[in-house]
Amino acid sequence: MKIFKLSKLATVLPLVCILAACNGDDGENGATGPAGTDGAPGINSLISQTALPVGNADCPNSGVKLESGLDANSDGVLDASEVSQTEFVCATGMTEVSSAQLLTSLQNTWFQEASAEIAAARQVWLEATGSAAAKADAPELAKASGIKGKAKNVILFVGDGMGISTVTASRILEGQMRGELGEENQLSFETMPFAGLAKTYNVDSQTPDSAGTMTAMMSGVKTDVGVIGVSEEIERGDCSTVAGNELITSLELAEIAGKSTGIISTARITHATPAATYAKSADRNWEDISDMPESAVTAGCKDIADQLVNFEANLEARFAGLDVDGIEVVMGGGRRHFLPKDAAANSPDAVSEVEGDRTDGRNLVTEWQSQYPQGTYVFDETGFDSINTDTTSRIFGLFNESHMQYEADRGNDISGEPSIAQMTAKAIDVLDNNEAGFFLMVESGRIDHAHHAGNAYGALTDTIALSEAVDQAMTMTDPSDTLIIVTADHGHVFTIAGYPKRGNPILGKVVSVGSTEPALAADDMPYTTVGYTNGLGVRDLGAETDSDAIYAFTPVSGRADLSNVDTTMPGYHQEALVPLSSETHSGEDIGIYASGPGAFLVNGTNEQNMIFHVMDYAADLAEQANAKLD
Amino acid sequence: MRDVISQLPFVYQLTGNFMQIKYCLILTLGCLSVPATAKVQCPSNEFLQARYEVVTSSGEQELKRADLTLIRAANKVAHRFDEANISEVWFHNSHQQIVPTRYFETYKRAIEYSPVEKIHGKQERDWSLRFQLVSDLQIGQMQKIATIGKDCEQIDTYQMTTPAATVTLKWNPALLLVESLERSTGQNKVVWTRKNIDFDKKQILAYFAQFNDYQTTDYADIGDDHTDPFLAKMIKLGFIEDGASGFYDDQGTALSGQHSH
Repeated sequence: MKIFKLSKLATVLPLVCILAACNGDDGENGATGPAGTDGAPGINSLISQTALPVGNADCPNSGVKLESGLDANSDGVLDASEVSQTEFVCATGMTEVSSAQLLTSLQNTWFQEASAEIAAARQVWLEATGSAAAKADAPELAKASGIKGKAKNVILFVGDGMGISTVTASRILEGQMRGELGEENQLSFETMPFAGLAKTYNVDSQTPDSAGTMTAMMSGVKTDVGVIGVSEEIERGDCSTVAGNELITSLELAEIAGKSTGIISTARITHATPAATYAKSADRNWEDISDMPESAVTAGCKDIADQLVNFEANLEARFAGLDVDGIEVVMGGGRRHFLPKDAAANSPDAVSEVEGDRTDGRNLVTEWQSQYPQGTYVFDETGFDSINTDTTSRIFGLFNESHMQYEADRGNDISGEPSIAQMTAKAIDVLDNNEAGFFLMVESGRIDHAHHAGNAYGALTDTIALSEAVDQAMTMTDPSDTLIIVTADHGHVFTIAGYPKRGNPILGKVVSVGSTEPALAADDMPYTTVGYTNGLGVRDLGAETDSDAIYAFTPVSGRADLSNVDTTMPGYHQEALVPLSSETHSGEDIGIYASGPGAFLVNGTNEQNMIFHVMDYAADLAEQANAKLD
Repeated sequence: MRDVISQLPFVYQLTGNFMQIKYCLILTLGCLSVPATAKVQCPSNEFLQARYEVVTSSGEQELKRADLTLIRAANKVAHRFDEANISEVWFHNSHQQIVPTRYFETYKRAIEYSPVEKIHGKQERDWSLRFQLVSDLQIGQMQKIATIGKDCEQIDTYQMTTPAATVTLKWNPALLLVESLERSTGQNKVVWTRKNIDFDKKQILAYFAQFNDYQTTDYADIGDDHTDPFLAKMIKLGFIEDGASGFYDDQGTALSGQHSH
């Protein structure tokens, strides 16, 4: 574990310095002197951990009491008089027993276990830092144990489908695009001081989808594939099973706590990942009312777009007496789900004959404008650029009918779209006006889509764009008060293989060490370094920058003669072993990268829902929210 | 440069519920019944539906016979594969993009594809290819060898011969409509013949209106949901660009190096 290595290193370094300090010849050793008097025993720092049962005065719903101090009488026991610091890690929110939503989380095993992981990680940190420093510097221990709630701001970046191999290949490509060898490069978030792994499986699925994984990250509870913001007790597609199974998200807690909130996605803003920040739905596909079965509509379930626009009212309805001001920043694609199925409601840059899909005649954009007359709605790059963040307190940006463009294809949008980095910067500029801080979720949604299309170029360039957005956030915020987490929801069956030499183009054919010509496989044909286990298979679409152009073709499997194909071109789609209509997610772990207060809690291999608890601990979201509700 | 004939339209070969795109075809004549008037006022070529019979043969043996209906409504055009109950619809938007959608009538489902932008594929920026089945560019590359009739009933005959094939097109310039198209390659022949035509605008609009109630899926979202049995089954079909790109032959084999993006 990284913490232990650091503390060991601190012990070893002085010895190395002492041994290296003498430059002249060693003199002869003198005679051994008499043994000195033994010094007084040092004073140890001790930490005591006491489990607290339900009903405890400090933790009404159980928890752990952590006491620390110096063992002044050296009896190896931390006596009451020796305690200099007391901390409580309580099961949060049980004071709000009237909140069915909160209870759903608190009584959930996934939630409880992840919460315990946080306590354990914190304890590891205390022990590590305490053993190295606390003996001589008790204030250090106090400082380390006082991290909870230090994060005024939280930014969660999610690279949809950004598995480990995608991160590796993207860092190489980014470096090579700068003329470097590439392997030594680091994406912005790889410079963060803490990292760990997340197990991504859904409760009912070995290989997960974005709905279940993002629900885990946002709510602290693992759930089923295909459902949004509800626990595993749900039956997908059955509206009647939603009630009572709704989870509360970190964005909602931040909103209740009085922070500003924002969501950004390069996919449709109603797509699974962003939806899991604000919606509760029995099916991820219920993006607008036309996507829902009549029975669900009749039963009272609301589509996801409706839930976004009415987020403020819905949240207030769930908690008596609550008064929030809603999500300040919403930017992404997906206009179709907010507009009526009427050409008269088309945006100037509409692609389809009728842009909107809504069959209830409602225009949710105008509803949002009526609800927030001081807010700014934008649909293109010109409108985005004209936003003055000094005077704008609320933004609703829907830049595309469906998903926003791939980064590589962004220049081809009819009216132009901002980049994910530009949106991130604009969002922070608006959100950081709140002294209580902010919570922002940013999703790079099209990494996933390019992988599904079997187009590594598209996936890697979107990952690099995400890295630029993270860099923007790291630059614009203070690491002493802003927790930034960068992670993925799941990986893809994308591999880096063969034995290419150092600096070999990551999208190119394998050229072995010491060679200048592509290596040949057993079938006497060259092969690429990156490829897919399944999917639509090999296609050479040349300079095409829209990864989805592949869907024009039928799936193919296996090998092709690539001798005369430039596989580094944007439109090259890699070979796939198993022919499928679309390349699939993978079930492997994904990376979590973190900086800022509480980032040290990210280490080791974790259940994915632990990410919620890291954010909750660092920003003290649940307790701050409860304080508002009291 | 590629064989000019291979860039001509495609013949849609229907196989059960599935279709594959094939290269050029046809021929046979059909007579267009356009009322003759003193002052010629041709029916609008923007609203019509024309049914074609597509016959593939080798020597004297007929290999396959299928129907395709061309349905136009101004800036929308549909190619309906009658046996498969599938319609492929292209919308020519105000930004000069061509937006394809494939409608599966049996399932009342649709897949919406990406508009092919101007800088992309050479073929898809040519609206005339979808609207007419034969593009203006392709007609321009052929030689006109005969003209019969006049006004609305004028039929021009074009022909082109290359080492690969001989193509003969009978063309109604007033209606921008293929009367027949024949492509012969040795013993193999594909013939498209227009069998009937209708100008009932109300019926045409009703045909397109039926799609309003279909459940649509964005092509980019196909990979997100492998649990949808419709997607799992139907998306295995490639779209019409199989033929348009010229990158694959009629057997689906890659023609390396022949594309020109």
